[in-house]
Amino acid sequence: MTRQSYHEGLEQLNEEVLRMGSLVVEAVDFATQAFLKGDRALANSVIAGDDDINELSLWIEGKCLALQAQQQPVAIDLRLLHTALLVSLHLERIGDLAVNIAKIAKRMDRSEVAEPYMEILRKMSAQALEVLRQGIKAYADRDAGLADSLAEIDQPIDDMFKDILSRLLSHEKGESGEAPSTEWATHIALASRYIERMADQVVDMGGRVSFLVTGQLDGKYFDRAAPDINKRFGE
Amino acid sequence: MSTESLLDGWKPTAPGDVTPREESKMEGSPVRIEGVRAAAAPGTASVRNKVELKDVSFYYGDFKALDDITLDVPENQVTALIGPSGCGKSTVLRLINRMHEEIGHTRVEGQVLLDGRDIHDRDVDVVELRSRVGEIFQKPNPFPKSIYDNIAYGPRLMGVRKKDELDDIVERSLVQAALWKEVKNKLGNSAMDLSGGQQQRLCIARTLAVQPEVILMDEPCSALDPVATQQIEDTIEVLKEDYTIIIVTHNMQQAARISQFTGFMLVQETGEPGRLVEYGATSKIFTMPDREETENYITGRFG
Repeated sequence: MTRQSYHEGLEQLNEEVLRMGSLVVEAVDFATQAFLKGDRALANSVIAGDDDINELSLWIEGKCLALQAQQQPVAIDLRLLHTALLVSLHLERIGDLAVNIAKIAKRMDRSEVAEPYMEILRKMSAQALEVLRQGIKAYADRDAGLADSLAEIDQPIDDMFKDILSRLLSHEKGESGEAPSTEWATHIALASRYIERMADQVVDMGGRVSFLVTGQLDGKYFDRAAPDINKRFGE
Repeated sequence: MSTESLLDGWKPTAPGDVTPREESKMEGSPVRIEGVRAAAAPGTASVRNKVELKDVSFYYGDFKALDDITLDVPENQVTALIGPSGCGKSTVLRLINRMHEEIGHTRVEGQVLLDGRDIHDRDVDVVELRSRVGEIFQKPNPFPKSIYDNIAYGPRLMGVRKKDELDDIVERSLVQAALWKEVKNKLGNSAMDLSGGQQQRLCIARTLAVQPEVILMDEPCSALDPVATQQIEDTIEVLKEDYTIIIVTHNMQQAARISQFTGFMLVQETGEPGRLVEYGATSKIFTMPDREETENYITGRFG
């Protein structure tokens, strides 16, 4: 094989992105469980585990820089380095959001928990975890079709987030039952927002995977106009 | 609940925003950070230096060609020297196997150490030195003999006579130089009939036949096409497991690809001697060089 250490470096980079992916899946799984069950020990393990994710993110960034500086990557190799860097940044953000949820899990007063909200948050959590798993699978399998479908499976999460916000606001207006405390409402609003943001990060990650496979920067993933981006890239 | 603790979760934790605590934690972490932060600088404890230049200045007659070069070459690594034409890169190579002595009217100041011993000491045998420090030149220079005789030439000079012993050396050397498969059925053919890239790998095999410890390469790919260049680079990557390699190249991308350490040399003003402007881990030189001159050269802003 020619350029052996270079190709081994790319392979290693790819494997570390996947390893980071599985760490982040675990963080999201545990953080949402900790939040839903009020499990402080589990929340603490998520917070402690974030260091490993951050460390891996830095390693990936350094490796991408070194390979670009030294190996003049082109075509699929160049697209992989570009994608690996951005995917690792998305994953790192998702890990941070999991930490945020774990922190809420530690602080929230359980006596105030209202089941209708928790039921929605359970569904949101499960769906967000599914979006994340599919996003990482799309990267691992270089599956542009799956990457394309992420926005669709993310949609229910956006809807549930809006539902939670409108319920909280209507409570505040006194339209249905007793108004929740401001502190509790803030926890619920933030937790649902963090889950919604996580899934959004995965949808953007899908755009990176799509670029890796097709070489096209598609604006639909990033709320930007596609033609301009493609033109700039082509120049 | 205080506002501060509520907002704790909002604290921006952008990637790259590493706190000193995290930074110090990473030092001893099991994940090895390669690339920008990790490559050990030459001269650090983990790497043994095979060749060391200490305050070396060099003169061709009255002309001072090199000024005060200090350079540690780590063992079993590829060290590249880059810089514009005439900056003294090849002169540095010559000092390491005393090829400058073939020119005459030259003078060396400072020390050139091989395994800690000054190679310019009076009792160092230059023939033995050159068998320990082989050299590959810019243009392939096979002898006008058969492939076999090219490789066997050095061992025969050193007294190897037995046919099967010579056969072994020829095969081992050609395998190491990644040429064996292409020539094993025509060892009696003239070396001059090989392609340029094959001739250069033959010259590498000829050097390996006398089992050197250090291999000096003076622009070994400049006369070769991209495919042959690729083969030589692949060969170098394998050879560094067993040999210490110092390569001079005009092709700085090549230096970036194949070396672990890079030195940048420069003549500041015409007529001045060449100096070593910067030396360090290749990953650092090509991402964050310390010196502006290095940055300007490798980014194509001059030179």
